[in-house]
Amino acid sequence: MSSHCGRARRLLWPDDNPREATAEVVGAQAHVAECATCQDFLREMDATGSLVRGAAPRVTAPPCARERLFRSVARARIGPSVERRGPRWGILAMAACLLVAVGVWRFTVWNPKPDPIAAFADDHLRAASGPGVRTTEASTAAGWLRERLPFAIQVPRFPSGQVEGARLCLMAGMHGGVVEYRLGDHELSYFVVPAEGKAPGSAVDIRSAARAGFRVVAWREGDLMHALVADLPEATLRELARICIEQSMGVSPAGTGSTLPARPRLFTM
Amino acid sequence: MFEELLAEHLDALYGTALRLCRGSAPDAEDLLQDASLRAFGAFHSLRDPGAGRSWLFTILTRTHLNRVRSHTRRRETPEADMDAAAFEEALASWSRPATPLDVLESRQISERIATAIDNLPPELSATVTLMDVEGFHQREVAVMLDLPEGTVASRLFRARRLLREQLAVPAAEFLSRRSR
Repeated sequence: MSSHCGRARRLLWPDDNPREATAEVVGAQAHVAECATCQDFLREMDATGSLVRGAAPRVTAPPCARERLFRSVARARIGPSVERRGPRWGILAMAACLLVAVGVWRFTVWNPKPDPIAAFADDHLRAASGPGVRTTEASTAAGWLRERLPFAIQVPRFPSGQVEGARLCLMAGMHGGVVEYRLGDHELSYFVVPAEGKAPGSAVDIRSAARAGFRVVAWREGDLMHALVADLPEATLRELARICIEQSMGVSPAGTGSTLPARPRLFTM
Repeated sequence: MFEELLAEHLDALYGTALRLCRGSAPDAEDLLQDASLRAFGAFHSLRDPGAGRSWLFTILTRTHLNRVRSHTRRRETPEADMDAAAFEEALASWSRPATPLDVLESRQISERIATAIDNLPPELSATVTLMDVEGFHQREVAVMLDLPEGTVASRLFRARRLLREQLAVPAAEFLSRRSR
């Protein structure tokens, strides 16, 4: 090995950039053409680089991380324009944002007409979440959801209802969990998704709507939105909703009979 | 639109963030969020849409290195990097490793490579991740890390040498078992 080896290697490696053919570079290339050790060095370095490139794990950003990231960017998109306009305009802008948020919430939850562009991302995220888990064990379904969501879902037990599985869902761009049940001949889905905005007062409002032959009842508890969807009568779904609420409060573990101190205020949309 | 650019490169950015944060998913997510918000704030300055990938990785790596520097409460020590003469000396003293890596199956290497990169010093792991894993050129990485190209080369050399040493251990164990 000569003292030229170090210089030639420094000038020619890594060899991924086009180099100006200076006298120094041409000399280094001539040296490498004659030097077996330098050729060996370049081969070995290439092999190590290829090895790292080929073996390094390719990861996918978890759906929850994606969701949080895009939500924070969305917040940032709104934020600065409010700050720039001073306090009076700031209050008006905040009020406008609140109205828009309420409108968006109503639009997306009760009149789902997804933005076609956002729908691509939603579908990709949905596919990345996998098909879910098939199980008749409430604890298995709860555990599966707990591993994938930043909040816990208590899987309610319904009289004559059987857990069939759990999966993730996307509601208005937010990831949530779904527990699937069978009640006799009916399939029932129990959705829990993060709710936008500040939680209302302590009273639990159960809302109801019908879409495409299915009845939906939904209510909010704290920072979470809950919904039951099935081709069942509204009264039945409301009763199941009340069981969910009772069990989440730890009032009626078996889910039979109403023991709520006060009935939730019901209204129909 | 910024969100489209971010979505296109999100997996690669997350993977790099994961390597920069030594495999810690919460730290990687936090880093990615911080970098994304910085990128969003500076998106108007991106003139060439074709340079979006490199631009996002630049922000990610610089955000990471700034965090590392602020946590260690010191600037990166310049003496950790070699000057041209020292680099030439290190290159000249290179000798062919005694243990070949091709005795290991690709699965065995894959299992170890992430840990081996995570065990590198931060400045070396950033260089090897950007060049070898993400395939950026020396010149691009020099811009990303705000370093001379020669320093990038010397870091890559040190990183590959250390990775080679780490991977040589299981390879030697494998050969030893096979010879028994």
